[in-house]
Amino acid sequence: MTWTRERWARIEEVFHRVAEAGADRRPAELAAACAGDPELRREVARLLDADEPAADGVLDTGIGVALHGHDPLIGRRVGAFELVERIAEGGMGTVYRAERRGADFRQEAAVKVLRLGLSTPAMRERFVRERQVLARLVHPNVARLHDGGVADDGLPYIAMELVSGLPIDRYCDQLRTTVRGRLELFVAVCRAVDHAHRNLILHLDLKPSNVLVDENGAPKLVDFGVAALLQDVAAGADAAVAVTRNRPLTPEYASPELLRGEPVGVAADVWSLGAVLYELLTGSRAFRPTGSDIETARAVCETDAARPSAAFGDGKDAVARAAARSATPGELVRALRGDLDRIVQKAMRKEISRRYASCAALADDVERYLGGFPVLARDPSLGYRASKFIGRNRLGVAAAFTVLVALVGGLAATLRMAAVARDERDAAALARREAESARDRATAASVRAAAETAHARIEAASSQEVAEFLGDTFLSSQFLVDPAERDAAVAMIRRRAEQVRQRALDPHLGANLLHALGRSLVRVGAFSEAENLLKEAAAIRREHFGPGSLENALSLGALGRMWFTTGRLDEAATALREAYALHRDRPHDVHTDLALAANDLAAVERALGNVVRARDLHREALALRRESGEPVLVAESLNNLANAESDPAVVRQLLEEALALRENVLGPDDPLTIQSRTNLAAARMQQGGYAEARPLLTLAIAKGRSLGALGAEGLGVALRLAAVCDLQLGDAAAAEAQIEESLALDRQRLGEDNVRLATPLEIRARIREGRGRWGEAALDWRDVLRFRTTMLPRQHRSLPLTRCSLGTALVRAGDVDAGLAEVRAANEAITDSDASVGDRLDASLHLALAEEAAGNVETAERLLRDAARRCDETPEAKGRREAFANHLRTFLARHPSSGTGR
Amino acid sequence: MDSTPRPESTGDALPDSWTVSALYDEIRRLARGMMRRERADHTLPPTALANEAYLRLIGREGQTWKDGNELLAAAVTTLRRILVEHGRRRLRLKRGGGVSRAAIDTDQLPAAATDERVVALDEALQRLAEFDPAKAKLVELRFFGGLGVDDAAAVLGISPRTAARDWRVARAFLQAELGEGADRDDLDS
Repeated sequence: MTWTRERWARIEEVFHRVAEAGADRRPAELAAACAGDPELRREVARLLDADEPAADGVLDTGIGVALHGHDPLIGRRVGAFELVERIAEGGMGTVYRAERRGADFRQEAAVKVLRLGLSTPAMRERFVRERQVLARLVHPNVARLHDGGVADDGLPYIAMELVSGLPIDRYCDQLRTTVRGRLELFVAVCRAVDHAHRNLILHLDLKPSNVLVDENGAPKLVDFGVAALLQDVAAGADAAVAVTRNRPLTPEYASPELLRGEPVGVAADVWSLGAVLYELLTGSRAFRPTGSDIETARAVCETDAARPSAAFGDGKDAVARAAARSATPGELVRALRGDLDRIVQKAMRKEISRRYASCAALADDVERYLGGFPVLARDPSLGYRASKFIGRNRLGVAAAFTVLVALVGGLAATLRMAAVARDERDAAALARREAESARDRATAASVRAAAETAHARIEAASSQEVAEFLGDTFLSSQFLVDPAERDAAVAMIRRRAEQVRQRALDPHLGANLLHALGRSLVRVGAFSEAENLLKEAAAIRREHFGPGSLENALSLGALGRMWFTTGRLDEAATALREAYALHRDRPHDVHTDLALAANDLAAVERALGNVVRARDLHREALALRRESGEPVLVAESLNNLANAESDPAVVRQLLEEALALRENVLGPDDPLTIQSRTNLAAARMQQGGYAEARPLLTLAIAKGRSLGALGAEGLGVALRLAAVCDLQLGDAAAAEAQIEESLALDRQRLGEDNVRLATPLEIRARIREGRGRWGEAALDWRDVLRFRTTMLPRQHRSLPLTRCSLGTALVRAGDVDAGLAEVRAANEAITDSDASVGDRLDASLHLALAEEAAGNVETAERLLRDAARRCDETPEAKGRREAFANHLRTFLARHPSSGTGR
Repeated sequence: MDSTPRPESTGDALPDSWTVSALYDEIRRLARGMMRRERADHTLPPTALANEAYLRLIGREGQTWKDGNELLAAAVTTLRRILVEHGRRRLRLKRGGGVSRAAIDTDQLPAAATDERVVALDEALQRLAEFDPAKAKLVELRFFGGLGVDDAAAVLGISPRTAARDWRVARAFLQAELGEGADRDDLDS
């Protein structure tokens, strides 16, 4: 049929009017519209009859069905395989399910037939070579190459392992895989790509549809068939451009350099993995297709993708996408914000040099995130590292409080509790011995992560390759308590070391790598393995750079630190003294090296009892660190030096500065800042500054409660200090509240019957005395004495003093006989103990007052006069002169009849 | 390979049918991307699509298109031409009987039923184009390009609603025409 345009327009108009009317009204509509034009009526009626879609619907579905339904290659033999059905259309060809049948086997494969013929000999050669390389690519997460070649009729093909699975994004959505589960899958994908890179193959077409997840949940990389060989890329830009030009790109996942036709390397795959991760996490693409590939490409090259967390929040279908991740939109945004945002962004940096150096580095960082470690994608602010550290390893924080313990000791003296101080130190030492000493010190060492991090970076900076190869893993690996975790880490490091050895690298680089790996092993706690690696590295360094080299000094330092950690003090001292000397003799352009050497050596000297030497070294380290200006390290040295100095005023000044620095750099809520606050409070108390100390403690306790930053032990210490402050400030009721809370925490942590309860119980006893509740005080003293008797050697000075306190409490509670007996026994025992003159005077005072209470006034007077006289014997005792004179005066006032002539 | 017929009308550029289905897929892929495009700016030459196979099929060296729509439409037209050439040739062979079947690898061509339909539709489309070229183009995109109504509307720059209306009447016309052809089953013989 054919009409004029005008006639057709008329027919069309009537057709629509009638067709859009209800079925029952159509005849009437048609009749009305075509009144007087039976021809028109017939023509429209004919069209209306043909209005419904045809039975086969071919017009609507298009020719495609017919075309695909009759794929000429189906049933065709390609190499050993027969093509069975189409599976997918790829950029470079069509993928078929294919079968190979033998006499007694049947093998399935995915056969990709390349669309482009191999028109030139060079292309053919390249294809053959690629196939050979792919054949070597054997990895559980990479679809294996079975076969490949050129079929009889010239069709190039590649036969790969047939993976029956879903693209990774659809797989995850279907199973509602959580963010964590997605990350775990993603790590496996990264490792597979990294494996390919190590075999010098770039994938260059990574996208969700090329990562299938099989029925066992294992991801498989497919479609390496068009990958590029790294050596081609390395051969020059021409080859690289050829690689990119020959490929139909998927610009949403392609890196800017790939889109621009510039030379590409592993960074291109890192980018694509970043884009895949983006989509896995958010459900939307980093760069959405714009309809024009070139527009999309331009967006990729010129604009920044929204942060994943922000991209997620924008979506209208946010609830559905979150549900596909078994989360709510809010939960998902919170999960993505921060580290995951940064990881994706670092993978998708426009500048190649700012991306992860390798897929392994990307995988490592994701694993760090999963393990709660600091991620490299984040700027390594120390506050951030510290917060990660606290979150992961509270043990380390507890160890940091050994500083405090010593300071609490100092404070106790002003409370006439000198003995308590020493006990506390002893108790701490005991507890350290109880714990595996190596472990304890290792955690102490990891508290110094800040310092070590800076140091490690210097070492890494000496060789760019070190950082690239290791992916900086050693920077954040930490002491691992879980044996399984540790084994896994050790195995990984061992593998890497083996790779280093096999690679015949130049000695500088090889030794650096082994050294860095050895340090990782130390952190992980695998000391004997670490020693082997460090020694191996040291030997190489000595051989190639000489014993006076910086390299050798660094090796000695690392070995010394490790020996110190494992308690081999003599070996540690030898190594660290030598390392220190080497650093000293070198023009120390890098102050941090010498500072660290001094700091480490100080720790050993102190442990060996060389207190003055330790102090001098800490002073030197502090001076050096002040020059280099890294505030966190300066604060660390201030703290260490405070622990080594004896003058309370100096100690206090150091700690004031440390706190100011930490508050400034790390912020008020950082665990290190809070800890500094407690330390400074203790120092102020030591000088009698209870009123100044109390606000610091109030703040520390509040933060400790709300942030958990101090840990239970740290909070307990702060509460205990606060109790002492309150008592000294005259508020015994407040003091009691603090000490009760502290005790509750300690009991929860240590159990009811732990010797470490002695100190808090003593403080409570004194508070109870202060409130006149002598009977309750006696109960506490009895517990304290019991703990100390089991804990301390028999001659220990604090045993008789504690017993005196118990006796006095009993006397004041009204049980004079029992009390006097205790005090007398204590005074007899003190002659055999290593108590000081001051201690003995104190014991005499207890005895005098007890004798007085028992009515033995003469004995009491004699004791008091004797004690007052002996106050001049030693400087320590001199401090008591006034107090004892007072005691004597008030005694005489109570007993006006006595005191004649003496 | 030498025995494969090369339809003279399109010269050496005409690919075999396997590549035709590849082109079809390429068109679908392109169209899918275009569905989501922003209409505002298409200023860059789409040759930058850099798909050599694609370009070789649908154009001469150096040819450019105003935008992706034009490129896509050209690709669909090329595909239609190729398919129709194939169909005509094979029907001729079948009916002519003068050429040995062995001379052609029939597996490489769409099935005969498709040939007839393709040729008949092509003729009907040519008639439609005489008085309504826009709707003929719409059908071409839908049938030969495999585009959905919305995609086709986007390529033609009309609203999806208009496209749906146009499609309905065009389809009615074609089905009426083809039905008539079926009624006159023995016309050719």
